Amino acid sequence: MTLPLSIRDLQVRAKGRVLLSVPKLDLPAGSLTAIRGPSGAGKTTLLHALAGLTPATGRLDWGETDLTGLSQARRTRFRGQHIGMIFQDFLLFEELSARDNAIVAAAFRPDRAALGPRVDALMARLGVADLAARRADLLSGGERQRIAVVRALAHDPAILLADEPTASLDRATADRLIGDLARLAREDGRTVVVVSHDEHVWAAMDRILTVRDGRLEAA
Amino acid sequence: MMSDLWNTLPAGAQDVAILTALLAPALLLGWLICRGFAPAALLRSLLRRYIWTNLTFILLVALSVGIGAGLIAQERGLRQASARVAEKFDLIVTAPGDEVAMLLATVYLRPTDAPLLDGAIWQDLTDAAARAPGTVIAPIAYGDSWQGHPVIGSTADFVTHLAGDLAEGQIFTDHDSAVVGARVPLAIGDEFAPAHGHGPAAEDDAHAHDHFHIAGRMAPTGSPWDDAIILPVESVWLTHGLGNGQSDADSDALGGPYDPQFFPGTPAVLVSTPDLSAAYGMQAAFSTDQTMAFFPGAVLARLHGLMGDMRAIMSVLSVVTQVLVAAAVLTGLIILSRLFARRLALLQALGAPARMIFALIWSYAAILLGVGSVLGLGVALIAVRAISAVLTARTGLLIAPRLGWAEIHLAAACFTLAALVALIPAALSLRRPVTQELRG
Repeated sequence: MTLPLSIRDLQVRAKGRVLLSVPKLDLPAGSLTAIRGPSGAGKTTLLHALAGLTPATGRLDWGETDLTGLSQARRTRFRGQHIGMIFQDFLLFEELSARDNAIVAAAFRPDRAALGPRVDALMARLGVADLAARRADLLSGGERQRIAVVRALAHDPAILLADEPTASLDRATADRLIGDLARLAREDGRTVVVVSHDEHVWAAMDRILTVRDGRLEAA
Repeated sequence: MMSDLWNTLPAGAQDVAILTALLAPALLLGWLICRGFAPAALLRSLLRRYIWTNLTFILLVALSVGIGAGLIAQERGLRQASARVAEKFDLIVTAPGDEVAMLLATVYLRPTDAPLLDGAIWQDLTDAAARAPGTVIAPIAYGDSWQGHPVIGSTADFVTHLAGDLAEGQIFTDHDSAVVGARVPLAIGDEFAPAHGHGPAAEDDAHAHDHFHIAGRMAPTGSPWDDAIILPVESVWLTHGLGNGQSDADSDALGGPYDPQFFPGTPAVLVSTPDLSAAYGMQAAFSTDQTMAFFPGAVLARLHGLMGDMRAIMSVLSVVTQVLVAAAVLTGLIILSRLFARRLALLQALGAPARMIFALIWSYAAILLGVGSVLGLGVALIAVRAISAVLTARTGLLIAPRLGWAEIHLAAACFTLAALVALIPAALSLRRPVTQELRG
């Protein structure tokens, strides 16, 4: 399943202040998009709005679903079905094994039995199958982020959202990760949005958007 | 109707039913909250994350439950032990005074100064006993001691009544022999000289010329009498220069009958009779301005009533302690769950529903509080064993350090209460803003 994105007059507010304003944005299904901009410009706010983590006004349609019209519970359900997320500092459960981290969604997903084979296959595709039993706190930064990628893709989401996925990695590791991420996304037809300051990430994407002072500008 | 059905159930079935009723709300709550989720791996992670803090919480809860359960078990053990000792003492006759003081002196060997019953009263008792077949009366002449062990003058019948067949040796057959309790550190054939009086005021040399040898040892009774040395009462009288209770001063007879004219006196007399009506009759007959007759069991029941009141007061204090500990643990859990906020936000970002976050924190808190409650029983058992050992050493009462259904019910109640209390940090964990936590 692939999902295009359509945004019209999207606004995210907090305490009466407009944090983000996106008058119009269309991303085709299966496209890879980078979002750049100075710190505090609203990049992460946009990413959180795309994930349905923060309430917004206007329209934000992933395929036929307008996230702004959904309750928090239904946005969470949509996210659980269609969106995978990756974060700058990995956010792994340090006390669990790499595989347990990758399959963490099994704790709450009704299709938990199907996750295991999918996670094992993804770990093999990303070259981390031999790390399955190793505790997360014993993994390198690159290994951790690969496990985080497996976790994000474990439920086969149509959308992958990443917030500075290479910021905590050295250059070589970052390049390898972004290459793998782009390859996996293209092979599976996922729509990818990556917030990043990293020019190497921008280069791997189809399109680059800029957020400045809470407004989205086309690159 | 229900109460009738309830009363027909055996005690064990009632206890199991109460336990089930106490645990059911927690188990039902757990099923309702966690159904559809498989949070075991995440729980393992949360428990390992702050392992020492988690263990401290468990210990606090265990101590709190242990104090409450231990209090109940200790009070029951003390009550049962004291009642068991008094079973051998059907009716006690003394000079008028304080029943409790005389009970402690006669049954629990905590000597007190008491006027003596004279020969006329002894004769009246002998006559009354003769009218009720099977009745045994025996003087209990306390006041002397040997190295802290009470030395009691009485009769061979009393020894047999108290402890049955001897564990070793034989019962006294002459004025110079004695029988010792199971814990007295004197062997058969050893000699000793009693001190006059007891405690720090005992005069060690007062009877230095009167030596006795150990002829027999009683089987353990689980009572203060295990620390006692029993002499023929005639020997006690002779040691104090009061004669032998006979008109013939040279008589070697032991155990009576005594001549009222020459009866030196005794602070207490035990009456043991198989005839209940005879016991009540003698209790009435010897409750006069010259004598006091009381049933130790009845006095003990009043004391137990007082202990029950004390238990109620201490139980309230225990509950207050538990509430304070619960409040401290709850506050700690709320703080700790805030430390997990980023992980919880991650789960929500991955699509975990709010009910899953609630279930995870509830399970985490319930495990800490529940494990603490169960371990509390272990703490209670250790505490009861330690306190019972001290009390047994100090009083001679053999207190069985056992946990009963009451303590299990208490732990179950604490577990269920913990399950309810755990709802609070679980509910509060949902109030953290996900996006803010994800930004770190």
